[in-house]
Amino acid sequence: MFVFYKKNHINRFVSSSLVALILSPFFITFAETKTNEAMDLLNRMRQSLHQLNYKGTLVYRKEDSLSTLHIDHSVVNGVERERVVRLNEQGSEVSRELKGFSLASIPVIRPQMEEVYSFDMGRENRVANIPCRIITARPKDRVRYLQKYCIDTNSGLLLDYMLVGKTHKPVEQFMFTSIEFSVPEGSDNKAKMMSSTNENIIESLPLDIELQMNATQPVLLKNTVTPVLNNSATSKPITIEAKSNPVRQISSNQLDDGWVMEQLPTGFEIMQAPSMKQSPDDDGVTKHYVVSDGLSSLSVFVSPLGASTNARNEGIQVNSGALNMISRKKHDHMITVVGEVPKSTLKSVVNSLRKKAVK
Amino acid sequence: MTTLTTTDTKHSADSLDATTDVAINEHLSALLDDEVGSFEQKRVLNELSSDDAMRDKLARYSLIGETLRSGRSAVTADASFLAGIQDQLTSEPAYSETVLQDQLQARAQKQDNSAKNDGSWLRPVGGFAMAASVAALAVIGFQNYIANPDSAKPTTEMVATNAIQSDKASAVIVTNNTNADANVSKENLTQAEMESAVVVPADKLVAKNTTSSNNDYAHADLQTRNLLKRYVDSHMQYASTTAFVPSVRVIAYSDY
Repeated sequence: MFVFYKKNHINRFVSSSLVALILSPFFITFAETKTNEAMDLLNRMRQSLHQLNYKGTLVYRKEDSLSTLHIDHSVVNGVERERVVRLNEQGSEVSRELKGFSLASIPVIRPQMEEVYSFDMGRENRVANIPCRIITARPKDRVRYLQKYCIDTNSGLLLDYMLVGKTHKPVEQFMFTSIEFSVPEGSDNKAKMMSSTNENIIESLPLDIELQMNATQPVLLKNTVTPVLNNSATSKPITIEAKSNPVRQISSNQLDDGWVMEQLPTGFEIMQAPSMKQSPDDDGVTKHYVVSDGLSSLSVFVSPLGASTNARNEGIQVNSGALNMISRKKHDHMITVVGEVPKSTLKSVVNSLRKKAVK
Repeated sequence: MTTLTTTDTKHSADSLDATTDVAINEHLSALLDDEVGSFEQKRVLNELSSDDAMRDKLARYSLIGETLRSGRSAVTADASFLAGIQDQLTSEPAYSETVLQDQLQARAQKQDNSAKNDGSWLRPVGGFAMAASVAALAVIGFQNYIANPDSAKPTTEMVATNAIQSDKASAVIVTNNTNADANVSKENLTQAEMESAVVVPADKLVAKNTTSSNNDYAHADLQTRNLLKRYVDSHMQYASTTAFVPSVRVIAYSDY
């Protein structure tokens, strides 16, 4: 194998590599154990992100713009609350409240994901003055982004997160500049390991989402999902209440109303999320499907188009950091695909979505 | 990766003195670890281009690093293989882009005149197979294979899209490929495929606009983005996997 080198080099190589091996027992562990360690730390990170109280400031970088944000996450009496506020430019705020949140709903990094990702443990680093460990989830194709995490091995908190695109340039980065965290009270029972298998939770699908938009007083919109068409500079927090895990597994690629997903990208599974009503006066229902490989995910929205809509033939594309979206008319429906995957993946998903004739 | 310090004895007559030797070694290791500043990087790369022994050392360091990291023995190539590429690159005549395009246009015209394809335009393309500047030549057929290994055939619509997007190509080669084995990602066109390729001027392709699998996507304006925001919200709620990350993305989406 090492014919490459001349003989005297071989001796030097052997001796120097032996020295390196002896002095660094770290390297003697097998690659497989390393992968498992990496996957375990990632799973721990996911739990900690939902179970711990933490607040801090982070920098968000996308393309060539930087933003600073403040985040406050807490778990009180089993209710998880998260609030993210932008500190620069015009104020903007998103808050989420997850009642009855079940840890089982967090997707788990499973061994079968090694089909499409290789999980590597990287070096030690320091972020927000806290030592952390770099973990890379390297995709084996170009259908998804490379994900690089720096995780505090003590608390499991994610301190630095980067998504790298096809051109090996970062598409997005989140880095905490300061963070403080604590374990919520009464969380010992929660700290017990959740089941390692992600069981399919088959539930009846609610047809609407309760969306509370905090203006001056909370407005309950029962049957609609109204877009926030607010061009003014004032902040408008959105509180979304998630009752339980409403996303359910689909057994095959047969979707509703005769739609079929002919070919999913490797490693992706399809699930169904609650449908959305298009508007208060319209009976049309938009179906929402989630296509995910456990680390990257995208949503497919299928909306029937009324006869009067002036839909153009060409599609629309939107990009914001790692988030890409395309929208196109197909078979008298508007197909919108959103996800943190390269645009080419979204395009291939749209192309493989077909409607068979309904009898 | 830990920095390896080898006890190398000097083996070149015009060698550097002891102190700089150690420094260069450290810079070499740092270069592999991607931890070297731009000044040092330039310096090391300059040394590398002139010093054969240093190149060997770099190859050794990276081999050691890779072997230790992956836990498997690496597949290595003969030293003459690398030298061979270097020689071939230096011996190739430098083709500027305009020369290539002129040649292609000349071929295209020739093809209109005579049915026989003498295949001699293949020579510059074949020589380019290893050099990086093959990107200037828009060989769309196999580019699409790499991007979409699942698609059966390169369609003319895909070719049209790429022709629109690439500013520089003035000619596009459409491969007449009926290969049903769609899962093979083709890194190089075979000789037969190259010969069967038809050179089509790009402006002819731009005019084509089929309605069904239309890959044209316009950028959304402000109002459309707002209308589409509800999809982003819904995606964030049900699909996204990491905790606070979706919320940050929703905020960032409002940036224009």
